[in-house]
Amino acid sequence: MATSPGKTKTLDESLTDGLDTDLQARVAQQSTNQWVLVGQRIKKNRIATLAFYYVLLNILIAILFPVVIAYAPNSRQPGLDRRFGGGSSNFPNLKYPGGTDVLGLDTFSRGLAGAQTSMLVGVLSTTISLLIGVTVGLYAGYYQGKVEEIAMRITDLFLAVPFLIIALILLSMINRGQAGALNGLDHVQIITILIGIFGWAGLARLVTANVKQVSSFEYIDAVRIMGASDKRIMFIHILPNTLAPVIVIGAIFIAGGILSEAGLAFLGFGDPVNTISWGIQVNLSRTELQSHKEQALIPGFAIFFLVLGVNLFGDAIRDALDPKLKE
Amino acid sequence: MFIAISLFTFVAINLIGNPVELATARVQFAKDTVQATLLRQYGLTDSQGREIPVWKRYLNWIYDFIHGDMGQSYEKFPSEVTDNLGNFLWETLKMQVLALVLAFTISVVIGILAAYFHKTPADSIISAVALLGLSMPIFVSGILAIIIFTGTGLQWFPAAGAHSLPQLLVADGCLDCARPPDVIWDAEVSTNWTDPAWWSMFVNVWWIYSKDSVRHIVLPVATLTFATMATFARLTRSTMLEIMRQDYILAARANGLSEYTIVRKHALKNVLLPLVTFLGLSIGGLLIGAPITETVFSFPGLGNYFLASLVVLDVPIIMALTMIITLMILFSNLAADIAYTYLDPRIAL
Repeated sequence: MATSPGKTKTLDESLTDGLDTDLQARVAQQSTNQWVLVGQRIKKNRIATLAFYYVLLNILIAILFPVVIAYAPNSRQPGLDRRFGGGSSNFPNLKYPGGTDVLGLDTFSRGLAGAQTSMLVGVLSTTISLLIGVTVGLYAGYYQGKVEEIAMRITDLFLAVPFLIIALILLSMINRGQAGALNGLDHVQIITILIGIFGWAGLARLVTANVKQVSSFEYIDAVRIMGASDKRIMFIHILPNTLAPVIVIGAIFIAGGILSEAGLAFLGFGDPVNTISWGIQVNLSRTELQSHKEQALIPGFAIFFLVLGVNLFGDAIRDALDPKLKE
Repeated sequence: MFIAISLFTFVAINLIGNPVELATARVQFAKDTVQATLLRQYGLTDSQGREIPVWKRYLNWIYDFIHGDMGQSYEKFPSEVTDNLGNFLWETLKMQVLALVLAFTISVVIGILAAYFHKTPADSIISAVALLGLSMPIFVSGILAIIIFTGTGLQWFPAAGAHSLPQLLVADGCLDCARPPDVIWDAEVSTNWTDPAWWSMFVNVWWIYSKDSVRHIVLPVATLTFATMATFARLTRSTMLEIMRQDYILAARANGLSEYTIVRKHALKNVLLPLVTFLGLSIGGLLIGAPITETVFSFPGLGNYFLASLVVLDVPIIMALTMIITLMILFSNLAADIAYTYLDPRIAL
């Protein structure tokens, strides 16, 4: 404070100041935090920002759609309303903004409710995959030896079994009431769980490789010498350093989950009235394709844009995490 | 691994459904004696009519499977599962192999181009197309293709099926087309093989049938290619970007090699390495590969057949298909590993 008695202090002067330096160093340290940097880089990327807001819009719709819609997604009422714009397969009009589908259900409300299903399946299945995959990867990569061997054999099995087939078998068994304890679950729940369970294997391999690499670093030895427990080393010192690729893969998984759900719904196993999904809407529209193209195109492009948004955002995170690629 | 997977398949299917119950429900209206015979032929009961325990059924099943006997279909009885599958195998393979080869070639070329012309409009366009292919569900692109190119739009291609009905071909002016060429061949080749007129008729029919078949296959193959291409092209592009930054490319440039030689001789082989692994995975999925595409285009392939047998829960067919596909994936992964050693001498098995 004693130096220059002038107007405003320059940066150099404030750096010489004892207390201020400390604060500034801390601020500087905070602003170079990797995640802040990543956030800044994503903000600079216009397409990624747009994609982010689009996904956010979908999430908002998924939460708030009951406020907007006039008819419940599985209400039979619009189908009975033939004289006033309803009925089965009608074009969009003011009363029914999305028209009605073959079964006489309001396409608009089903479209909005479909966002909820898609987001839920995408996010929940990814959470399941990440939980299992990261845990298995951590333990396998940290303990190595026999644990790793066993874990890798199990992932081999899961990677070799085709997801689509098992999912289809299970769904059709449930439709026929053949699945025993699983009969109580509905379609969306089964699909979510299946996508989650079949997604973790590849992730576990990646995490294992990363954990193996990280746990050979010296600072892990240092922490161990200081007497940290295995759990603490794994979850506090190794996990954060392997998280970056996991987040990118998470975004890809969400997109993949949404696509898988739509695909399975499109194949048309299950109850088309009470299960609400964009895929089912596209499937129902197939018989009306000649006269009602919008019935296929609206939900189809809803899936497409949502997945595109998630993918673009994922790409942006990947680029932001790995500035080498950007040059 | 084989045992693990067969066990997994068998246990999964027997846990989530009960084949004995299903088969019994299916034959319950037959006479008691017939019922007993049927159940025995399905391999569910022994000659005394007692139910065979599950573990023994598994052993029998795996023994038969290794010897090429996949049992009898529930739905179309009596018919061998192998015969049923054989009917659909050709159509599926035709479509899938074509799509995979096309996707692989195109994506390697455009992936390399995109990486070579990094940060130019060409790169942006290729990346955008790849991202579209990755994000668009296959049924949406299929339905778009149907809307644009078939009867509702440009009328270039038929919307469904793998062949036209013979009657339609006859109505188009090919009077001999009432029977498909293979039927004509089987029936008449032994008697008429010296007759040039017969040969010209046969070639004509065969030609018209092939043209028809190609016309039907264009849209499914295009749709599948578009979807498969995306992943391949993105992988190629990122690998190529990394390779072009390597020192040996710089060294090749410094030696004054032409750009074409650098890409063709020095970069291409290294780009192919990660692609081979991925190709192995795709080949494994060839047989089932595209139930969604086949549904969209009502294509009579294995995927569609699998869905149909799922609807009626034709357990032997489901088990056989699952097992075959899983094995395919295993073997193609193995093949990819072997191909690796040829492409990359640094790796030894």
